[in-house]
Amino acid sequence: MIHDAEEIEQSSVTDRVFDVCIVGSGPAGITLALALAGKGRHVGLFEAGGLQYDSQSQILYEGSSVGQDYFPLTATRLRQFGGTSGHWSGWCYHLDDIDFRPRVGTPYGDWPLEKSDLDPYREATFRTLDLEYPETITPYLNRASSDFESFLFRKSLPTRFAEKYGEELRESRNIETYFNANLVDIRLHENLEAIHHLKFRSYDRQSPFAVKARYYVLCLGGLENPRALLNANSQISGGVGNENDVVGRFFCEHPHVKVADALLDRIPRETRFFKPTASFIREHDVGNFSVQVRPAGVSLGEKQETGLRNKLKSLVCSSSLMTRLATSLRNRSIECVDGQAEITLVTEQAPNPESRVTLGEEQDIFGLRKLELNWQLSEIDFDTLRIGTLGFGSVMANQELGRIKLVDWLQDRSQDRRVSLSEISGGHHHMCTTRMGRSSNSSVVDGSCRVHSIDNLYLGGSSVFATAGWANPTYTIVQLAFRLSDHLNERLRRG
Amino acid sequence: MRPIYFVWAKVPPVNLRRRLFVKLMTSTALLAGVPGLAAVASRESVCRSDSKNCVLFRGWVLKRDDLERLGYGPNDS
Repeated sequence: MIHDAEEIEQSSVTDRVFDVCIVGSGPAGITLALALAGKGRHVGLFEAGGLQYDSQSQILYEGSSVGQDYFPLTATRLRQFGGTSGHWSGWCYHLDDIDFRPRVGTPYGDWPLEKSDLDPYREATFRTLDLEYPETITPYLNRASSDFESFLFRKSLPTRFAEKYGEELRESRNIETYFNANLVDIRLHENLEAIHHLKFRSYDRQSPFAVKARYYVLCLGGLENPRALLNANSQISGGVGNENDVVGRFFCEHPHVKVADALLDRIPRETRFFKPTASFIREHDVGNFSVQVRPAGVSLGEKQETGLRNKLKSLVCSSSLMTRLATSLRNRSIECVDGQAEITLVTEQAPNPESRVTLGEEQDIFGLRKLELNWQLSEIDFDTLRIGTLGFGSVMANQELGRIKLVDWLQDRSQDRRVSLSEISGGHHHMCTTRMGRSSNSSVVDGSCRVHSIDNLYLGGSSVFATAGWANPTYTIVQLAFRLSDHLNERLRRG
Repeated sequence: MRPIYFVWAKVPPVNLRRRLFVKLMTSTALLAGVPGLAAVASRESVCRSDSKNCVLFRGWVLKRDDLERLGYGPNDS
C-alpha cells in the first residue's frame, strides 16, 4: 500500500513494529524493500518527497558549496518517490576488481569486501535496471595492450524506479510505503547502542510521529545520509555513528574532464570506452579511470546544448549532398571535421578526509541544519588525469590509431592547479561520505553496511562506498541493496 | 588547431593523411614562429610499459618516429 503521511491516522503507523524501516525510496531503498518483501519480511518504506516532483520538498535539498565548484545541491538529486532515478542518465558498470584492493590512493583503508561478494547479485541487478545480456564488443585497439582495454558501457532505459516499481509497491502486502514523510530525528535507546525509533514529520502537521522497527536502513543518498546522522545530535553531540568524526568525510565524486583532442585514422561511429589495466594503475600509482573517445557529432546526452549543435553538424556532414545543400543555404562553406574526436577521462577520486559534508548554520523548515559541501581534489587526482591521458595517447600512437593533443592546462604539470579546477566537473555522483571499512577510525559502516556503533542501523546507497572507482554508482548501489537484503533477512531469521 | 583540422578534412585517403600528418606538424611549428628544435617548448618522455617510444611534443603525444620524420634527433631537447 502507498499512503500520504499527511492523511494517515498516525496510530496506524506508530502502533506497529516493522521488520525493517527503510528511509528513502531511490534505487537503494526500493530495491531493498522489494527484495525483503519477496522474502516475506514486513517493510515500512518512508519517502520525504511526494509521488511527483514538488518544489516544497525539493527546496529542502538547499545547501552551500565551499570547495571545488559544484552543481547546485537542489539540482544534483531528486527528493521525490523514486529518488534520483527520476533524472538518472542510465549508465551502468560494475566496480573493477582493483577498486576493492588496497592501493597507494587508499591509505584510509580499502573495502572489507571483494568484487566476488557482489558478483552473485549481477543477474538480479541486470533485471532491476533493465540491462541486457549478452556482452559483445567490437575491438577497437589493433592489438592487445598491457595498459588499456576496451569495455562495454551498458545503458539502462534508464529505469525510473517510481514508474517501474510503483504498482508493485502499491500492490504489495508486505510493504507499507509512506510519502511526504520527512525523517527529523533518530532516537536511541538509553545505552546509545541501538535505535529505539525514528521520528518523521509531514509538511502540514506539526506533531511528529514515531516509527519502530527491528532494523533501520537509511537510503537517503550520498549527501543526505551523512546529513541525517549529523543532525541526529540530541543524544550524541557529534551525531549518530560519528564518534570518530568520520561521518561526512571522504566525499568523492567522479571528475569528468576533457583531456585531449584527437586525430584518428579510424573514426568510430559512436563513443568508445577504454579503461586501464590493473598493472597500469599499480605501475603508475594512479587512481582508476575510464577513457571516452567521442567522435565529433556524438553526444553522451549529458551536454545537451553542445550535443544538439554537434548532431546538426553531423547530419550536415553525413553526405556530400547535405554538405552542398547546407553550404548553399548558408552561402558559405561548411567545415566538416574528419578525424576529430574528444578524449574525456572519468576518474576515481582518491579518498580525502578533507573533502567532506558538514552542517551549515542555516536550518530548514524542520529545524535541521542544511548541509555544506566542501569538495576537494588531491594531488593524486591530478596525477591520474595527466598520467592516464599520456598513457592512453601512447597506446593510440603506438597502435597507429591516431594522435592526441592534450588540453593546454594539462600539458604543464607545474601549472597552478586553480586554473584547471574550472575544467573539472562531476558526474552528480555523491559517494563515500559514510564509507565502509574495517576500522571505525576511518569508516562509518562495516562490511554488512551496519553503522559500527549502532547495532540495528544500516546505511544503503553510494555513501557506503569505501572507494569510488570510476564507474557510475547506481549499478553498485543496487548490488549492495540486494546483498543487504540477504544479510537483514538472515538476521531476522536468527531472531 | 583549426587550420590542421580544416586541411585534414580535405585529404580523404588514410595513407595520405598519415604522411601528411608529419608535414602538418612541421607547418604548425613554422606558423607558430618556431625556428628550430631548440625553441620547441615541451618535450617530455611519456614512455609507458608498452610504449617505450612516445614523447610529448607541443602538447601532442607522438611516437619518436614522428619526430624523426620531422628531422629531429632522439637526443634533441
